[in-house]
Amino acid sequence: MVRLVRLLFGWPVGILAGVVTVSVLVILILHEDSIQPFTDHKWAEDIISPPLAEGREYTQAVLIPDGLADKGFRLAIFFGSEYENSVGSVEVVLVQADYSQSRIADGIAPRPTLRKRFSFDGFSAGPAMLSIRAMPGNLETAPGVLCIAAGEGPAMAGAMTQEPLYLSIDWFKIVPGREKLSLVFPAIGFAVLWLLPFAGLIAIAWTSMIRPRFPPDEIV
Amino acid sequence: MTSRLTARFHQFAPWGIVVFFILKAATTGLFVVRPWDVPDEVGHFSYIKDLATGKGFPVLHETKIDAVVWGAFATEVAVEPGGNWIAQHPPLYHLLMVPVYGFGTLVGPALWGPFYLIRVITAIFFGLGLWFSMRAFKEAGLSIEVSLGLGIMLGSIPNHTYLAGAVNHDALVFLFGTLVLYYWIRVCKEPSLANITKVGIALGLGGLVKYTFLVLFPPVIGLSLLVIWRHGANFWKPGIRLCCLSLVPIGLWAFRNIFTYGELLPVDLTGFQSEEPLQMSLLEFGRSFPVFSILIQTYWGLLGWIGDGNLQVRWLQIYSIYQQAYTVPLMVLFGLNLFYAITVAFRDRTRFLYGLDRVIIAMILLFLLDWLDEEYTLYWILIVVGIPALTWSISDHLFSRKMGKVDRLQEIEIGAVCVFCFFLIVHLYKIYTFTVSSGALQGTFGRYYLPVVGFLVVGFFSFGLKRFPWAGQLVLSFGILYGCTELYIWLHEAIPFFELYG
Repeated sequence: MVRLVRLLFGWPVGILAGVVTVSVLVILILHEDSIQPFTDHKWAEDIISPPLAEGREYTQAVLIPDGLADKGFRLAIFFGSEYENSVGSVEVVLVQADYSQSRIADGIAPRPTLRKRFSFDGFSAGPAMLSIRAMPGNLETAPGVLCIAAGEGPAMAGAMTQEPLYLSIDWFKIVPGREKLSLVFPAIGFAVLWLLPFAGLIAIAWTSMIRPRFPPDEIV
Repeated sequence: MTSRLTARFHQFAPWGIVVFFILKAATTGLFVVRPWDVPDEVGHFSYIKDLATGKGFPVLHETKIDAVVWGAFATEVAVEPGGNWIAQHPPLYHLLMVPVYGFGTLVGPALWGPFYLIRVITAIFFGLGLWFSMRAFKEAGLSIEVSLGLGIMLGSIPNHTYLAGAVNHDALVFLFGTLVLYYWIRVCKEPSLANITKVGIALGLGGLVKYTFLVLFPPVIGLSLLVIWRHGANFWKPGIRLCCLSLVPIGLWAFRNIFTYGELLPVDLTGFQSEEPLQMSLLEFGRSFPVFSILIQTYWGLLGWIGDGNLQVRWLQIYSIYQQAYTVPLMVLFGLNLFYAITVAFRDRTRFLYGLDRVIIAMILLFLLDWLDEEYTLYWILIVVGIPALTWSISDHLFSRKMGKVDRLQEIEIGAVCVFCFFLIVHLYKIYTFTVSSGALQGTFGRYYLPVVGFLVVGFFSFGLKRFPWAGQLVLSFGILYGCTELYIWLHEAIPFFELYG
């Protein structure tokens, strides 16, 4: 038993543990896309549009930022409601020239607000039209969208409010998982050099777990 | 492993940790973090360049950022170079980097050769700080395995790696902070003239790196003088030597400041003035902002600054799931403290009641103050677990003193708590005054605590770690957890973040 423990926490197994842990983590991380906020969210939304009841649709011109659209992106829309058990479904459509994509979100239930992200790809930087449509079956207690009063450009259409409202949206860039290392390291050798210390520290931690057979003061 | 091999391994393992940390921080600084994406990096580099090119010390409110440095910094906007606010700092880090700058111009492109070489050398400073911190932990009575585990934990915090691979004086502040801790512990154990001289030199040099470091002076000098006085042999000679070595370096710099600015230690307060200052008491301030939460979460990792050339500040605050991975182990360590404080006290009814009384009073005070109302749940739990743990271990020490049983190592723990708490109180007061004058929360960067992080570990966690038989295995496991979390943060969040606006 003692031999087994010594073998398990010896330096060969320690090095193996470090290398295997880091390898497994890197493989897992590289299989996962990274979602990064692309624009700073600056507004405090305190206006909720009328509910997205069946038949209602809000549209607004938006500007897809430079550097966002080349590899797909996410667009976040904020939903809110004054009702306790508000729930509804929406279809979000993004149109640019003659290219469009739509996404459907079911069971949106803001308590009291909810940020929902929708993935899009194939668009290019520049103006586009964003539409948020209520799905059939949405009641008058369905959620609305969160808006701001001090926006720029054309206001949101369809809300039929006295003062102009602007959709509160955030943009997120999708960084493909497999590209994470190649983004910064010019060659695989440099990436390995960067990963080596993580494995080394884990190996030292693993190997240090074996207890010395004499008091620590005698060691160093 | 045989005993001999184990001994040899434990002898070289701290150096292994240091080498791996330096390699990690240096490669991160070389490849991952873009130039100028570390707070104040452009100011520090311009300061060093001014010294290296013979322009002398930059003058606050007068000297501009070097034009070439500015050109590489503000690549996307046509703006004239701004004033170098880093000129307010004392010059030791920048002076040490002058030869590095010179060597860098020989081995690489005119600007980027020195820049990246300075980043690498700064990583070495931080690595040495890690080595001294592990020695300090062992000197404070922690086992070699626990010291190694704590070293790995400290070496696996993203903020440490990030600040180490940067043109920034925080790494040197960390190094001198751990040097002060190490030699101060040695003074507490053996107040010899050699140890007193070393703690004096470490304090004096640290004060020449950053004014924040000066906050360490009153508690460390005071506690050291107390030890010397108690030792009884000769108070004046070592006492005067300690004070002179600590105060003369910064005194000389202050003397220069009087001639240059007309004041001792001028600081740039332009960002802390507002036409609409806040009207609130210190108590109301504590109730209005989650100060502790922000300090702790920014200590784990607040990455980014102005690296995109547009002069737009962008931050990546590491997400709450990662913060949990770093914070929950601290809760466990506090839990250990509390468990052993109660266990030790339980053997004696009077001792138990002595501790319990004070914990109850501390908790009542904590909740009466209402200072935790705005704190985030994770850190609220950490504080609520930490306060009784700390109070009980202090009470236990006081009880031992009352009974005439003084444990020198426990005195070191309490001394470390005093140093940390003094630093915390001064910093909280500064945050309050800056916040009130500027009208918004200011100065809540966790990195300000780099000089005292070693004191925190010794003071807050030693009590339990010395008593728990599996403390080494526990802390080393936390080290592995910290290492895996850090890898995840860099690869999944930080690398995409730094490349996002490139």
